[in-house]
Amino acid sequence: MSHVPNINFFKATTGLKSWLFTLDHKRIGLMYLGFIWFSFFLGGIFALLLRLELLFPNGWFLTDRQYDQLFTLHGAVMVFLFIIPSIPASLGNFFLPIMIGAKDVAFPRLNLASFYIYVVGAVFGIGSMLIGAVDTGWTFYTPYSTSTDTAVITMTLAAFILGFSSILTGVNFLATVHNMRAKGMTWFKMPLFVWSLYATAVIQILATPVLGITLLLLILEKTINIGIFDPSLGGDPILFQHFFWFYSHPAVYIMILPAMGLMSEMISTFSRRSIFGYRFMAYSSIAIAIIAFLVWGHHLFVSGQSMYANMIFSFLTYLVAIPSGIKVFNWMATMYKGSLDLKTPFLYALAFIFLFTIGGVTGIFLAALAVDIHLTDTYFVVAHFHYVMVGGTVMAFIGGMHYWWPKMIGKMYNEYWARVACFLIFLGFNLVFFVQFIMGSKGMPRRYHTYLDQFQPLHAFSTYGSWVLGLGFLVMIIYLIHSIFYGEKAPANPWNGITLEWKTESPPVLENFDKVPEITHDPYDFAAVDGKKYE
Amino acid sequence: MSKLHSSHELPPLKPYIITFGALIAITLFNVTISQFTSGSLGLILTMVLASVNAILVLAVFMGLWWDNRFHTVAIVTTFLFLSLFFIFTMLDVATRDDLDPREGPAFDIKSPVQKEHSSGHGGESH
Amino acid sequence: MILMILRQLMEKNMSSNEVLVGRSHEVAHQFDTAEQEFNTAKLGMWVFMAQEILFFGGLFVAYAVFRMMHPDMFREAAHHLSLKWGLLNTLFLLTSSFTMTLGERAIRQDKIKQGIMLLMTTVGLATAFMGVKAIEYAAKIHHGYLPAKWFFGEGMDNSLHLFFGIYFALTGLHGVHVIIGIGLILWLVYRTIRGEFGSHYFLPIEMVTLYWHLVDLVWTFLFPLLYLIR
Ligand SMILES: [Cu+2]
Repeated sequence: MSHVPNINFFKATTGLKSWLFTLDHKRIGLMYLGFIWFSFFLGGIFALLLRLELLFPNGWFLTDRQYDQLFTLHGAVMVFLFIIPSIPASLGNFFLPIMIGAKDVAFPRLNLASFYIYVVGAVFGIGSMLIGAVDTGWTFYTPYSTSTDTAVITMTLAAFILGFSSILTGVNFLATVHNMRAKGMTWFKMPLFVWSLYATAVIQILATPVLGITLLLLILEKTINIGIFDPSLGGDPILFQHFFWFYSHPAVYIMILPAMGLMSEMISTFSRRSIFGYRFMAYSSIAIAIIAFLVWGHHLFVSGQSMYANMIFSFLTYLVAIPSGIKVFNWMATMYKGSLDLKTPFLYALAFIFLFTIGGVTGIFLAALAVDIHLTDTYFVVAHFHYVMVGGTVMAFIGGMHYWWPKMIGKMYNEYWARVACFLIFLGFNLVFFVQFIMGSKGMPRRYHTYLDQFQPLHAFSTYGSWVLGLGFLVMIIYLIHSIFYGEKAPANPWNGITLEWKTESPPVLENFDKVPEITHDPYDFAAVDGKKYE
Repeated sequence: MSKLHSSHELPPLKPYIITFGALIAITLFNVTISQFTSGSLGLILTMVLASVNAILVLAVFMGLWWDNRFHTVAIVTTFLFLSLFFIFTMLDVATRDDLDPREGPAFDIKSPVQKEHSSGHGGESH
Repeated sequence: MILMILRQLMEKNMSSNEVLVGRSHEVAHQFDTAEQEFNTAKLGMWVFMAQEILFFGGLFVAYAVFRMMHPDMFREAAHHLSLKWGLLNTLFLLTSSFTMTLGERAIRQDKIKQGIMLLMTTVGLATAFMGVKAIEYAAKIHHGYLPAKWFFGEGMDNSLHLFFGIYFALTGLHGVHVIIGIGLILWLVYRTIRGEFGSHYFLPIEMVTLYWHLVDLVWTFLFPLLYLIR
């Protein structure tokens, strides 16, 4: 084996080629990070345009079809290009091997391949916007998707390709967690972020292929009319919804589980306390991954699905609340009597708890059959899943990015501006979406750009909020980019964390550690490290 | 179940030959009985025999018998999750009309546009 | 023709001693031992096969749904398939699975020539499988038993096109996997001739063998579900 020089991975090799053909999980993670935020801003611009259009009740600058295309693109970009790969592919890629004391992921070439598959998928997705943007909604429901003349095939092909990128990432992570752990890193010494990525990998591997076959069948339906989803040929459009949601409900947990893992890291570090109920946290990640596969029918309550199926799915959906509740309460218990350090990542973690709880509780409303019939396809649903996805996943993602920014880039960001941005994002988000709960419960349907005059004040309020939210992200991007060039040099361990990633330099050396550290304590055993009791 | 000590140890040849013989025999048997059985009994018998074949392929040809136990766990889990997909979807399709009956097919391959208007479709009668 | 090229290639390489000693395989940098590399790759392969099973699984669920909706139509449709060809193909695929395993064993025991012959037999059987598939497809196309858009076949049941939609999706996807398998095995043969494999290193052969058995496994269910409906 060749000798590995002891220098940080930025400087080990240079030039564009050294990035394009890199097999280093850290560089691949950073390239993902760049593309993922690019997608986020693309989807974000669509969102701002949507909100702008909704400022007035009778439509403003968009036609009906343009509005349909815009909300479809917002959804498809945010789901397939941003939030599904978001945490696992970027932060997960960078930190999973480091946190278990490995030199790299199990299959570095596969890792690079899945990155390029992602890029190809992105090219198809963005290409489809140019040749006749899709107007079906990101769910591609038949029979509309088989009859519209917009670029459904290109967009489904994009989602199909992106699905394979996600599967390969899952395969890689699962093998890495199983076989690449350093000596002494037993299963129950793994940080919870690793546990959550493991649970995510299980979902990615077992659910995503069904999305693949669904979209393949949709493409076959559109090209050679195989007929199984087309009611005019004897097919069953509800079957498409089963196929689609067998993937897409578990996909919600592909989005939220890694965020929950990040939460555990940040909360324990900034409270300087061992995570409360470590094993329960690990098991609840696995439990969420399993229950994820049992509840997809709650998306079909008003589709004409069998009443018996409705009842069973409604009951099973309530079960999700149990492991999620365990997590929220354990985070609270971890903070209790901890020495809290209100740094930016921790502020995002607090925002997560607040927003995710609202998102989760409104999910319980929607799981109730009778209530759901009133709320289906209203802004209540829109607000609910934005509270979970943006209030949950995106908050944790930004928090995690700040938490590890010094480690990844080797520079400190400006704490003052980071707090300003955090405040703006938190405020803006609530301004946009809280009123949507009210509108939805009053019957404002989603996916229309004209509405009754009585909703105008609330819609306007929501639109103004979107400007605050957008400003928050703008501030964030400015100080982060600024920090890359002018930031203070980061120490190896700015937050006094005790998981393995803090035991290497910032940024890490080429093979992550000069010498793989000995694992002597549990991942969050601050008492042992500090030599005193925190009780 | 015996586990090999290292990945480079070769499993014995005999089980492979026996398995190959069994696979051919079961396949031929399956074809034969399919000529005499029908309906759900035929389907069940056929699927049982196919499953035996599949298990033989997994256990011997693919080496699960000698292999790391986790691989067996992974593949069993996979089939369990597939069966979840199967069971819930079938549950819906099988009972969809119980509380909300429909009458007659509303399509025709010869003229694939809805023809229920002409054939007096009575779906709205409830 | 192909065999001749093969023999030439083999003679060219076999003449040197290199093939018996084998080129040394370097363990990838992220692993500590060859054993770890082997086990990890195999784990990855099994997990990937889990993915494949659910990929096909979706189609099987679609099959089950429509068979439950239209049991008579499926019974009729099976009569439009040729049991004779289907059985022949099943035997081809089962045998190819067996020869693949024997080929892997031979190479693991450094019986390189025998191994190459067995791998080529596997390729031959797989090609024969695709040949029979082509004959069957041609017959379906000729009689108009096609997915809805082009369906003009005669049948009692007016939903017959649904069966053939599923039939072509299932066998088509399986056929694509067979073709990929043929490509992978030929690639193995090429690398074996170059002397890369032997008792010291056979990881890619093990992977492709697993894949090929999976292709067989899918057909194990496809055959009775499509051809043996009575
Ligand atoms: Cu759901």
